[in-house]
Amino acid sequence: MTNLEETIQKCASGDRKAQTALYNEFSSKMYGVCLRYSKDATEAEDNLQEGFIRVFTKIEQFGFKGSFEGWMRRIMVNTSLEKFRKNNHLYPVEDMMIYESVQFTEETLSIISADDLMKIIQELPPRYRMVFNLYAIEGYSHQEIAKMMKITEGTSKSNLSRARVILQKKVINDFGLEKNTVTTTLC
Amino acid sequence: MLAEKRNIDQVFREKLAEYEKTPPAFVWTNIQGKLNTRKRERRIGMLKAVGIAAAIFVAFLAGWLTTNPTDKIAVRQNSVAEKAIVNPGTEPSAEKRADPAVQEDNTTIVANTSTPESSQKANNKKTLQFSSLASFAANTSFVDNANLLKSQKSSELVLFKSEKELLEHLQKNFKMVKKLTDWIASVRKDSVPVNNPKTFTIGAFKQTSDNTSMASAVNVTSRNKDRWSLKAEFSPAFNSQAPNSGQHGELAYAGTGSSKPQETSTENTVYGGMIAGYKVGKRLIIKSGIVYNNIRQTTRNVNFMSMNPQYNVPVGTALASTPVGKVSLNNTGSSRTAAALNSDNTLSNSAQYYSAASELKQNIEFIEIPFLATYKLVDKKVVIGLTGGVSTNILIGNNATLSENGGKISGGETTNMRNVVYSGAVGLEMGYAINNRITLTVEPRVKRFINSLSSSKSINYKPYQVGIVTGVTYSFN
Repeated sequence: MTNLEETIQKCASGDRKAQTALYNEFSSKMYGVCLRYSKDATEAEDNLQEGFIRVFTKIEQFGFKGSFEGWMRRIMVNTSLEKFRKNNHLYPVEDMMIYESVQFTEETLSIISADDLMKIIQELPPRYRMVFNLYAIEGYSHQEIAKMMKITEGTSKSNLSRARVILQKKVINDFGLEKNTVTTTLC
Repeated sequence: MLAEKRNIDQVFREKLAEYEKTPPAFVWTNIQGKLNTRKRERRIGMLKAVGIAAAIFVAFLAGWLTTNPTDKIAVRQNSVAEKAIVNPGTEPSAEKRADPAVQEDNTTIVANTSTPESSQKANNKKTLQFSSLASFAANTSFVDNANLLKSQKSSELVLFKSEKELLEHLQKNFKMVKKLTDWIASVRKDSVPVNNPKTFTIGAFKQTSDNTSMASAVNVTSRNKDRWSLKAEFSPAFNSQAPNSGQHGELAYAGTGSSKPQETSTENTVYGGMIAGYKVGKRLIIKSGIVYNNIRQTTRNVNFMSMNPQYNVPVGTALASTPVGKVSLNNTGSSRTAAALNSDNTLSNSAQYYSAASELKQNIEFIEIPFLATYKLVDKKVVIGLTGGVSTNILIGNNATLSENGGKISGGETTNMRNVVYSGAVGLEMGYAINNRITLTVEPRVKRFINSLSSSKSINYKPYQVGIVTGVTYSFN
């Protein structure tokens, strides 16, 4: 039995030391996930707190059939989505925005920090932020996103397209990138 | 160089997919706090479930009793007895059944069942006799199930004409008689002195038709055999505050500023409920059930403290403090008087005042789930037993009322009351069996709360209760 498995089993029996150890090991990563889905740090902290309480109260349901980190990550994502669903009404928007894909070079990327990108993603309208995170970072399909967010696939695609346009524009504007430093392609 | 270029999705994925940041320390503090609260709530939920289960159990027992009157049981026993009075050996063949001589050789046990001239009283006694014989048959390997079934099919009962004839047959098989006498002696040894089991057995059979003392003895035996009991109990509770109970520390301000000290007394109340018992030994009974209990305190010449950050008293409210705890009130009445300052000025506050006309009642209600054990010192017509045990008390009510000259002027609740507290109790149960099922009892009982009713560290309130518990117990098997 690995240390992690032992810690998980102890957590399932309510061992506070094991819970502390588990929190210390994963809290930074999970906070990162929550920050991506939130508009600011306060919302992320709330989601992280709620997510970890769920982790500890449902940890006996983890069947050791896959990555524990992945399981925790899904809980954090679901917690964030639930909070979003509770606070936002979704209006079906299916008009597709034509988005001009920009290709960024390695050199361009080196001047942009993760914290900068986090700030940009947090500034997205909530529904765009959710869809972009789920599609571009977590790797869910539009069909899955539609199911998770209780929207249509068309709405999911539309939201993603709009999110991309906003993000791209912000990255170019905020970092003073000239058009010639990027390659544009129409898609 | 295309591989080095990234679209917007890739840019964010690469930079943010594994993004890490240490969350603020208070997040973990909050998580721990919530986990503790959930743990506490789950514990309370479990205790409530136990309480509900106990209530359902008691209700089930009550229902069972009302739908299974004893005459049905007697009929069933009678039926079993009839089944038992059969050919003890292998099933007799058709030829053997036809031949009385063969029947006699097979040592058929026969009972003198109802006779036309028997009275109802005699029938009742015979029911008991049947029951005894049936139990005897079950206790010995004399009659097996296969034979019972076959005999039932044949519906063939052979009756002896006299008890003497029965005894003659019993004596044919010494082992069987020995088992019978041993069994009867074991059943009756608490109530009837037995010197010679064999003689006793014969005597017992002789007595059944005409000796009422035998019926009485059998009644006591029947009660002794009953393993289950259900008791409805009720008691006045003389409550008192334990010497080491009361306010300390931060609550010491109460009474310090007034010319007349605040007085708190614990009122007498009542409690009662249903208790189910199970006999685990000849004299030992374990009991559990559900009981309503309450404790009420009255405080006179109430001292109040208005807005004071030191005691977390917000603007627009006043705080009353008693040995049970603090009560936040939004109205303190018109007869209040500003309190005099203390000589040392340490705890005095210009905003402190008292009201001689006011009365603060704090009522705390519990559902109690007791786990008691009673050891019967005497278990005859008169029953004496020592009872002791612990109880889980679940808070179901917490209210405080401030009245002035008899009229209610404000309400609230006592702060920091524990949802679950434990108590211990000892008592001396004295009872009188009015028949083989029902016993009336009276029991002086002392009960003391083991932990403080308040979760505040500065309050140690563990009242005790003295009750005279009167009850009716119904025993059954």
